[in-house]
Amino acid sequence: MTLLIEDTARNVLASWGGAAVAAGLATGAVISPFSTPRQHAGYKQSAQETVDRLKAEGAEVWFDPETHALQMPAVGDFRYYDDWPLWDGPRGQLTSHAEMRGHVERVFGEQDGLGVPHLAPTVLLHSAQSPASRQALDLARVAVEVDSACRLAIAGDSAFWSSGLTLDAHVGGLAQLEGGGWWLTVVRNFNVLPVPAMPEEVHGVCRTVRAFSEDGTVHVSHGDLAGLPAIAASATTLGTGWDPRQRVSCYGSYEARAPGDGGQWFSQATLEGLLSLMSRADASLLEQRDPTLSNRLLPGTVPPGANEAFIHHVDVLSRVVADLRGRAHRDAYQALADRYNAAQADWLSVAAAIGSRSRADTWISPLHDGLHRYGQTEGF
Amino acid sequence: MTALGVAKVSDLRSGGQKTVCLVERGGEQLVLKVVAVGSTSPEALRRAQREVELLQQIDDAHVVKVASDLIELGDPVEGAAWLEEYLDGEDLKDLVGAPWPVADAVAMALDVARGLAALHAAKVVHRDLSVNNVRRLAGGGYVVMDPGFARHTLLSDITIGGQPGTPGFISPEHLLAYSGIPTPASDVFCVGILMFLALTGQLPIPYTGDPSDYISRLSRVETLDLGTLRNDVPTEVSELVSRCMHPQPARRFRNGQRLADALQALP
Repeated sequence: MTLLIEDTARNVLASWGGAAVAAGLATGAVISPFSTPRQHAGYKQSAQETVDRLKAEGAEVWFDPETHALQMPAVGDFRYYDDWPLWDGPRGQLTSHAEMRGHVERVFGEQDGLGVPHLAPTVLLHSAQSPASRQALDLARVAVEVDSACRLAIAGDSAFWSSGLTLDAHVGGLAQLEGGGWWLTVVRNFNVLPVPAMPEEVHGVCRTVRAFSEDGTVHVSHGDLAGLPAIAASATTLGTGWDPRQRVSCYGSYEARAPGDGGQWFSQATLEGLLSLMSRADASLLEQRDPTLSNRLLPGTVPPGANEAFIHHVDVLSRVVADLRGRAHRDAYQALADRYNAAQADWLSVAAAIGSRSRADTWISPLHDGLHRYGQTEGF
Repeated sequence: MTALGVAKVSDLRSGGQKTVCLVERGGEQLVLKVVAVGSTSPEALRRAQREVELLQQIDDAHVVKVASDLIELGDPVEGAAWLEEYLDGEDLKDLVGAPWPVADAVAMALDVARGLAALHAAKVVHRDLSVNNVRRLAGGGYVVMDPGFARHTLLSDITIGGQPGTPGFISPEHLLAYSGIPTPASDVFCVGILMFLALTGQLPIPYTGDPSDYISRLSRVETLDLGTLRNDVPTEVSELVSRCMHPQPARRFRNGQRLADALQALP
């Protein structure tokens, strides 16, 4: 259990994602009604074809309804979404118990049709104490009424995950439902890497993961490198992919797009020793100027293209996840803290080698600070 | 009295918003509880009535038996009344002060946890568990009283954040609303308080008469250290008390049954 490959606007989830699973670098994949059409559409395969191809490679496949995206500002990419029969009434209408139940039953019905496990919908939260948080709890309760073993979801922005006592109380309410595992998402304003994580947000995610992990599996959707503290706190899997929109859940990923707007392929290099990405130009410069350091940090050579960069990324990420998951709580915390300490030191060497500045302040420090707060809470 | 078909025998307790009388119905001694409901809304009273109906179905040795429906008093409603079984014994508040033997504290917590387990199985959260709401029977054993509908009838001594509670016996969730309101794990927190009090004679988060100071310490779950106050408590017991009062509700024993299981498993 290491990584789930998130859905993407590109048409390579089954091929690239399936290859990662077949190579033992990922556990499975996630399809989304915003990215995968229910029926074959243009260059995009149908959801069922995608699921079947992924399963043929041994993948665990999930359908994330991403209902929480409907509350994002400027959500507008409904090219595929509206072909999915997920609503009795108007899209996003979840006021009454009947509307909640209707949506949950339709989501579970689609998941049954695809032959994937039940993952409940949720709503986006900016606060853990609000009418919306009450709605999220009610929606989760309805989901458990329909299927007591369904996996439950929480989606919130940085303010939500940073909200301390109120977050803990909200999570306590959800824990009473005793669902069949958890699916957590940190939603961000911008699609940038490194994500602008806040230490208290990381602390909140870690506390929540630690609490839920005592009773079931916990997936950190779109978690990627920023989700490693959650793995140290006993999360089961991280979401990732080849595009930034698979590595970050953000508002921009759900905005209306011009037809054919696929964007550039993403080919930044992932350096295991830095737990960071680096542009291919910088990574190549480091490889040229200090091949020993480059080989130790990558490890290996700079991937030449997008597919190779993806395979290298999931190779690195799955190795780190497997290492952390193989440890007891305190050891996992310490192992990641040691990696962050080493990365901060190595960033200085890298900066000196390529004549740049250390990027540890954005790639490492917020996550390390959040992990440290989690360690203090746990008494490590 | 007429509506409930009872005759008064004597006053048991009176004060604040609550009056408690010993009454008789067909030769059976019962307790009549009358509370002022103040500004309680009609919907709150309907919820209280539904909860009383649920409680009438609970037949557990560690939960006081409710012997009537909840009836409304006055038009507009000014009060509510119901009948409970009469429990011969002492309130826990009269028994705490000096530290108890560890085994006695564990036995008390086990009975209370079993009572809560019955409530939680019926989807009732007590919300106001304190030394005022636990009674030791003359023949031994402890019984949980005044569950659930206290929330709806302003039965408790104070309310904080819209939730009932007794100073010193409040969980952090009592301070919250919306999705963070008390759950069965909040009742478990209060069992931790009762155990701490029984073992040490002190409240883990003492109430000194300053509500804002108390709320501040409660919200951070700043508890006294059990081991400092009493060093002969076995590690397993002190860890269990700590888990009951974990700042994260999801890290506590989830409900009364899980707590009872853990208490029974103690060496």
